[in-house]
Amino acid sequence: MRNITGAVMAVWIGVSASALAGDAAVSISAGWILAAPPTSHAVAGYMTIDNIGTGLAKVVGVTSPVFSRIAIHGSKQEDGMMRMRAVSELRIASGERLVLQPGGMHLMLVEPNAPLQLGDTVAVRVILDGAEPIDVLLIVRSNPW
Amino acid sequence: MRTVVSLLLVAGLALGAGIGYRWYSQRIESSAAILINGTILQPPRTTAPFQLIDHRSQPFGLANFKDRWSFVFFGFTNCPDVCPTTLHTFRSMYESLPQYEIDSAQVQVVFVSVDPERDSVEVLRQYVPYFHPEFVGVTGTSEATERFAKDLGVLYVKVPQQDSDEYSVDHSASVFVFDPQGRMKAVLSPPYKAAELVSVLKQLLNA
Repeated sequence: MRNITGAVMAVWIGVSASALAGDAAVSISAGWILAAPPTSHAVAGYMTIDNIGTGLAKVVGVTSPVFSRIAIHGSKQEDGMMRMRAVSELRIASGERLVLQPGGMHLMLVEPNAPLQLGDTVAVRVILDGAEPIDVLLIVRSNPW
Repeated sequence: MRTVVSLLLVAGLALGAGIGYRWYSQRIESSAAILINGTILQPPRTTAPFQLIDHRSQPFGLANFKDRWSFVFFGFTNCPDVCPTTLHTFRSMYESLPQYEIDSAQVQVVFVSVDPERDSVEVLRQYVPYFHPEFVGVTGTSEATERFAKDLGVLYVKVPQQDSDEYSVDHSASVFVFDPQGRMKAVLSPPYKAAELVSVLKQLLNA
């Protein structure tokens, strides 16, 4: 019975994690990493961030001991060109959802300390301005499309 | 205890179903709203001869486009988001060809590096076949890469990253389709979906 409870809780945590502090409340779900060749210098991470609170939510950084550095980047198609730029923070208005996804906002996860395989899970900590950080599991998978 | 577990299980399932539904509905919306943009060139455009090198250290030039349909696009291996996404999409497309009764031997997927400085033959050899063993990675001297890109109307420019001492490469996002005579037959624009790439190919095969 204890095992079943553990399994259910594990599923629960894997699906969604959230933080509450003052009027900021953020829920993060669907975290994943795009599978890439083991020699890749950097891989991309994605997640869905819901601001379920009444105030503005700001993601100001992401950390993990698995990577040498994590940056928030945005890919954008402009005048027929694909461009990628660093972003200092993600702002999510109350009630809004921000989906980090291929070809858009993403985490640039630099230099994993070991090659990532399909199905691996990696924990990252999402740092919020004015709220407790949220630990999120990212699962390595290939493109959903 | 049993009640608590049951409640958790029900709540977990409900949450899972909710998220599953959201994903499903998003995917339906996006596939309906986003159609592939492309232009079929009539007549097809000839391309100037070029000399590049593939990830198996073999010369790669215009002759390599002969006798098959080639999907050619540009990128660089230090690109974590768009380039691997496109390569995964092409893998799905390539692997689905038999179910559309298209012989995959008459189709090739070519990834041309716009970062020849970092993307050596060895780097491409470790990168491109990961997505599919039949995919071809191509690099070359800076001059040869630039000449080939320019002939296709592809632009690329090195951009220093603000948050590190590395650089990124802005580049044209088009996919070029070459016909079995080695002529440019179509130019496609993102976003790319495997099923839509197959339908473009079917259209070209039946033309």
